[in-house]
Amino acid sequence: MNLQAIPLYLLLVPLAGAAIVPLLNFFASRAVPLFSVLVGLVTAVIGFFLPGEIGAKTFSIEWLPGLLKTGFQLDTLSVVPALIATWIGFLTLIYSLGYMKHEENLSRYYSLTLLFIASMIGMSLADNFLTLFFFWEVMGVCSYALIGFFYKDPKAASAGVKAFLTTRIGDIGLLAAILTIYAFTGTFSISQGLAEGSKIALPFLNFIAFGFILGAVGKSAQLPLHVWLPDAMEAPTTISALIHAATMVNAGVYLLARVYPLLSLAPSWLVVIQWIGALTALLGSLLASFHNDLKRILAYSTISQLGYMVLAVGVGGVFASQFHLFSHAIFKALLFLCAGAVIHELKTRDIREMGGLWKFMPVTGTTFLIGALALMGLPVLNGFFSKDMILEEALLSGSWAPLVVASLAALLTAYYSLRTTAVVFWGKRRTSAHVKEAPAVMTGPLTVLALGSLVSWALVGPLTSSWIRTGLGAPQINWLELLKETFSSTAFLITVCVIVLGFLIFYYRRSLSWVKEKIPGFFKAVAVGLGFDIFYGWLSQQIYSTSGFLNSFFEERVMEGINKATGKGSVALSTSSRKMQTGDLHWNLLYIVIALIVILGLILW
Amino acid sequence: MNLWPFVFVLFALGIFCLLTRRNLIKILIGLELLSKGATLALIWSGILRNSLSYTQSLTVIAIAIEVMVVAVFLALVYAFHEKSSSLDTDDMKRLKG
Amino acid sequence: MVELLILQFLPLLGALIVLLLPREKKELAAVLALLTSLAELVLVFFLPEKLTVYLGLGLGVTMVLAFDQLTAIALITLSGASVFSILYSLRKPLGHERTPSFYSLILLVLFGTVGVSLARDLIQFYVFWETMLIPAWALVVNWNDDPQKVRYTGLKFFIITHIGAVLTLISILWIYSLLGTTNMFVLQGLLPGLPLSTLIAMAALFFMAFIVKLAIFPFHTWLPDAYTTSSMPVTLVLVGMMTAVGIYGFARFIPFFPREAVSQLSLPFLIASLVNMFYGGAMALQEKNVKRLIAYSSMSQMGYVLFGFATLVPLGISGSVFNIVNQAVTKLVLFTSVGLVAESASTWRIDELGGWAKRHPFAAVCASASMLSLLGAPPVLGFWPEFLTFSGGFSFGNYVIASLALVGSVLTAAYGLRLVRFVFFGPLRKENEGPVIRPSWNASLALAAGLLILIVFGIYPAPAFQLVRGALNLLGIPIGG
Repeated sequence: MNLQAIPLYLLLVPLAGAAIVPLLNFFASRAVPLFSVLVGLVTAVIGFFLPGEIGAKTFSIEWLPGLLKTGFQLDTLSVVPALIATWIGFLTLIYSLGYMKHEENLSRYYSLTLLFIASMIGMSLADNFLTLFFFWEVMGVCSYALIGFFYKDPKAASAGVKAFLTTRIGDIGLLAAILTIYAFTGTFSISQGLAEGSKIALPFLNFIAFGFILGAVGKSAQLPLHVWLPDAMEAPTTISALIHAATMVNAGVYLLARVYPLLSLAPSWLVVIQWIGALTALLGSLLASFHNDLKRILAYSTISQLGYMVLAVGVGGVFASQFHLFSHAIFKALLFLCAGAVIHELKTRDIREMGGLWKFMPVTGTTFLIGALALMGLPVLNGFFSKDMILEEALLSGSWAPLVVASLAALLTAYYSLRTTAVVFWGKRRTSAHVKEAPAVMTGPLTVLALGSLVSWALVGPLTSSWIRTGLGAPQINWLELLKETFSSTAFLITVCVIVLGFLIFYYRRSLSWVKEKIPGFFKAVAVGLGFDIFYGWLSQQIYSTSGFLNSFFEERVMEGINKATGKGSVALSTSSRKMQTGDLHWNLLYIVIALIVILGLILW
Repeated sequence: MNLWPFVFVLFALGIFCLLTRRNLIKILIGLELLSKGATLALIWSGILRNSLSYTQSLTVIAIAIEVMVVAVFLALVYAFHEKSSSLDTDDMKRLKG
Repeated sequence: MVELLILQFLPLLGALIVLLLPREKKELAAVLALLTSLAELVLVFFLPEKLTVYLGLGLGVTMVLAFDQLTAIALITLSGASVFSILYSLRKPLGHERTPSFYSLILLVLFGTVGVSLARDLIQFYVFWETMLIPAWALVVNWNDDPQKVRYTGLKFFIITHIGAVLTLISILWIYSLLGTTNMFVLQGLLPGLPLSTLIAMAALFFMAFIVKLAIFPFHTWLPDAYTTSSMPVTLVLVGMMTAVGIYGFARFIPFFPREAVSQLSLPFLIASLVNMFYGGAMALQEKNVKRLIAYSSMSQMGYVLFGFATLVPLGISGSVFNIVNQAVTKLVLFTSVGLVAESASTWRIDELGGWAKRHPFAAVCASASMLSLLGAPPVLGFWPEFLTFSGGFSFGNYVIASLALVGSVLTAAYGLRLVRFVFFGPLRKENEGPVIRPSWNASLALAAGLLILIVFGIYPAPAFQLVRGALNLLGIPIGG
């Protein structure tokens, strides 16, 4: 096997799978799910060989002849999202075998999922901004199509539209940034663009930074473009796990990490990034603490955790952000898939109708708990190490205010992770439905992911070493050193305090219910997501009515009025000219005589 | 002797007839007067230029043309009279725009 | 030499033959028309790269026909659109309306538009421009869905586009009076000799026909009514062929006038294109009639095309030249797929549609793909021209205008997504329940071909882009290396 072409195969296999699925569906629709899992398996296997290729730049194709060459770029930064997409994608496909068993139009589902995996791989491995943008957009299209998978449901269809439109706003920022870099450097190549970008004048660099940030904010559901992600939960839960937790939403963070060299040249925007990250983290955790739709809680939680990653980039901890990306992908996918199992059994998403499920779904319950603990950042689980690293970086860079906000968010995170687990799995049973454990094809991936949450932090050794190998600059540490460093850092104290406080709030939550009575307005605001959706709804309504007004007044009255006026004008002109045609012989003779006199006059003078 | 005044008188009378008479035959008379005036002008300018033979031929042709005009005019008047039994120009308004 | 003549006159011949068929032989007429357009399409691929022909018609009149890459792009689009429209009309249950004269008129439009693409003499260009206008008007007036409004619509369409053409004629005559020739090759060398202000005025007048044809604000009022009131095959002809010719006109003549003159027009054109994008988008956003919505979307898209040309940067122009093909394919597929649904639902109103993906799955797929192409989202064809156009916009130097254009694309996304969402997704009304409708073989074939082009060239645009690049090189606008 030609090792040089591994990234190419990694991209092509799922892509081919996506193309073959509809054809296969025509002949043998029952084979589609298994075929997709097979494709996923092959991709995952190829993925194993990918880290070995780090550092080697391979493969080049002329996409637009004479204009655009594209290829693959393999450093750790690019490999991590690709591998996440591959492996978690594979686990999700296995899970789908059970979860989507009774749905129709499966070929569309599997084809789009495979296409999505291919585009995530393509995006992260691209060495060229155009290719990156191409796959970035394809992911958006897949997300739109998959959110609206249950298209008969108006909520799902509208959620898909909302997602696409909101991320589109971000995408134009990304495109603007890419094209500005091109206008200045004449190249779309990422490495060249970053290298020569430092020569661009500051005002334009600010513009470029703004563009990239806008793109990341849209795709990674940060403030203020976060509104699409909670609604995107209309998608099948497997998609929520894969796209809206583990992969696509990370694309924005990946982008920021990738163009960090340029961003660091526009320091004012770095501060903006920090604040966006911190505030989003707080907002997400706040909303997650007070909502009752299981998937929505997880969605807000994702928004919050992405905020941490963005904050990390803002304070210069690029490695920390990617490390957290890695951990988060694993435990969040785990949480979503567990949620999927529960929802599948109970046919409801409201946690108030759940409770005491641990007895009936032990595997799901245990894995969910592990995921929740990782989310909370309990020591020894992967979430702890990565989150701690982020807080440490924030401390080191002296960004106190964002740090405080982020710590507050961590507090709430601890609270809601425990709360959710408790309400769903512990305590009294509030539902009368017959509940049994999910089938093995679904619990298998859960177990794998839970294991991952326990040990994935140990991979920090190989991760950092390859990081250095490709010149991205981070101190090399193996897992022992990581342990030592983390437990001895100042951030550790913060983390511990936060976890303890969170646990206490959770434990004494009933006695704290007087808070709700004191400030009901605040809680009402939280219930509607702090009004962002309302604002956007109002904004779109305004745009509609302006367009409507423009049409009814301007287009129909003014423009058509001009048309009709010209018509009427010509008719009026002709009617008045007709008066010359009197039909009277004498008038005609008079005209002749006058004309004669005039001509005579002209001739004689 | 100077024939110009006679030419002008003939022209003026002819135009006067054309413009102010309602009866088609009277209009014909006016047309004739105009033609005669033109012919007189032709003869007088011939005398002034002293090319008598050339003038004579032109004048004969002019008279012949005039005869044709009268013939056609009378034919049209006759057709009109057949259709509407009147010789009044006020009844000829069908071409009114 | 002969090939060019065949290319030019084949549609005319076809039109005459079809016209002479008796009224009852509708299927035969349709098939003949289809074969003629198909032959035209195939012929284009067999021509050598560059070809010029001088055809003396006596009385001092010489026709100049030439074939190059730009003309090739236009011809492929024109004959392809013609094939598509005729194919679509094959099984339309219009009965007495689908007479041989209908097909003959379509072939006459093809004749006119092919003539426009092949012409290299200004008067010849003008003559063929008018030649395509008249059959189009006849089609709009006689084959329509709204008999009360159609006289007004047809008149509006004819007069407004005609005014544009007449202004161009004035410019042509002005050029002729100053330089004594209308041969485009010769003029290209002579024009730079004229004073700048004259050239600017000439160019501004000259582009009027194309500006009106592309429905640039404020000359756009003919478009919504013409598209909406005409019946589907006629709309397809208007969309596929007329807009392609308009874009071709810009592509041919922007490099024709000296650069200094055209660059003065650049800013007004850019602003006009921005107005188009936003105005057309706003109109499309609130429109309740689906056909009219797509018509306004067409107006908005033409804003992008003009934007690409107005940047005067190779990338931008290449994007717009690419758009000759893309706009035609995208619009044809979009109109057809939505049209199929509207036919089944017997309504064009968006609030009465919904959930039709269940009964028209293939149309849903095609509509989604063409909608994505409209947005410029990969992996469909529309991504590439959109990307190239915006690249041109940012290379042009005015970041405000370029960013505004990008914002306009969000508006496009809004109405496009809304269209598909409310026509195909959501719940299906009770009275529309039923089994899956399989469209007739001709509509499916046309849609499948369109979908294939959208996806295949969306993923691998290299062949198409090579052609565009060749066209641009020929026009003296080098791209890349």
